[in-house]
Amino acid sequence: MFHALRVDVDYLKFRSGQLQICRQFMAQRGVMEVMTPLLRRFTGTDPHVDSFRVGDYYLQTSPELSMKILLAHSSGDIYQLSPVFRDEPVQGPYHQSEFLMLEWYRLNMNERELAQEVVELIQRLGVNYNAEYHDLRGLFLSFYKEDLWLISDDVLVMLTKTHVDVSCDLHRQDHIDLLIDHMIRILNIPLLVITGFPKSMQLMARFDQVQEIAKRFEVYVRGYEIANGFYELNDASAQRERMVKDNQLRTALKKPVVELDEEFLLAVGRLPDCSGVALGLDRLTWLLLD
Amino acid sequence: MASISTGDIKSGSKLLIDGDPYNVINNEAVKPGKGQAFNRIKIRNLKTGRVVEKTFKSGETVEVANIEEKSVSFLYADGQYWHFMDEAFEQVSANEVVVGETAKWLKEETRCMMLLWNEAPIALTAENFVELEVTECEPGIKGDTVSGAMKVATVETGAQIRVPLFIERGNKLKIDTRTGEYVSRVKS
Repeated sequence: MFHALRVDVDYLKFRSGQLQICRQFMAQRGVMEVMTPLLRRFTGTDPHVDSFRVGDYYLQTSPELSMKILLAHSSGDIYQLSPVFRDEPVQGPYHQSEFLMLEWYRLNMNERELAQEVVELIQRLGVNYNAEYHDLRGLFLSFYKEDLWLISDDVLVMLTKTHVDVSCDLHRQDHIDLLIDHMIRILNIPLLVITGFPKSMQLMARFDQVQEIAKRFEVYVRGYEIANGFYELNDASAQRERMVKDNQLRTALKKPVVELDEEFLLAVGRLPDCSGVALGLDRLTWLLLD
Repeated sequence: MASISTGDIKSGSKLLIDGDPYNVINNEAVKPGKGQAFNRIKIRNLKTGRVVEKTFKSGETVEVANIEEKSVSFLYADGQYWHFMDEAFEQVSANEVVVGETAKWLKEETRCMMLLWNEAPIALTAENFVELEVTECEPGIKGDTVSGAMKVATVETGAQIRVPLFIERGNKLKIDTRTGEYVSRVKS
């Protein structure tokens, strides 16, 4: 069910090499390695990410909350290379309950600059492709001939019907998620960076009111999502609002609500101007060895 | 009706979808856009052989198809039905739609896998390799084992396959039933 122990020595050597490349890459840029607790009293509120509980503690689904607290305390550029845990069904090598995540934060970088750094690292780890950069709105428009920012529910339903065989009732966002997923798989671009997401997909990113885009990016290798980055929100009240909404959705989904982490919320308000990204190293290794 | 949760569906699970039985090829959990998780399931229609992909919300349940796989051996054909015997010595017959292309590999005692849906046969597959004797072909050209040239031979079940030039009437051939291709001559 969980992460199986791999005893294949070739794999172990490859893996060890990958870890060295990551650490070297960070050292060259003056990014400091940190280790934050894997067990904490608090966890993320994302309604679609569930944590394992250990007594009164949660196994962390990402080091994000802790790392942002460090950033607010003037840590400067930092990275963490550690396993994270998610309580969800496991299916296949690209979807596990425990996986190795490389998460890092860069001060005074926006999401586009950080995306370029992610591409550099991925290339150094062995992905020998040039990256294609696309903004989501343009990509969607050229693929489906519809503007994702203005699309009606009816057209969304119609598009899903044409392209994806789904046998259940879906919310508006489910349609959008499935259509984007379908588009990325069909385009099958070897190394793809998508930037500029609609408000409904803003997560922890800053929202640009003028351009109406959430300042986020996602990196895909051969159609598989490898990294997810943000120009980090540093407005504590907006962050609180999003987390309260998450908990409302959790209740609607009959999931336990998550107590808000006040230390984290305080940190968000004091967060320096920075971008952060989480990269799934296990998935990348799997793709490289496949 | 039995049902199964999307998380428990595995390669080889048998599902009933829109009234047809399907065999699961693979089941991939996906979480596009960080929202709702889905299971993308690749399935083969057991009646038509067609492969399709379906997306389900994770945690949904899907009806299970009552599919049984039986090892059978061929007895005889009467012009309308093909008759087989299973390992419990029960006779079972199948029509042309079920037997399909497999018919051309059938001779007495040929072993096959029969798929039954709610106890009725829906598909028949021969073993991957069969050995059949050549009943008709042009005389063999001795020594030509390298040129790669081929000719047509008829085997004892009536099937015609392409064989190398050195093959002669009476030779026993190993044939791959999945491709219908000659593999080798069997030393008898």
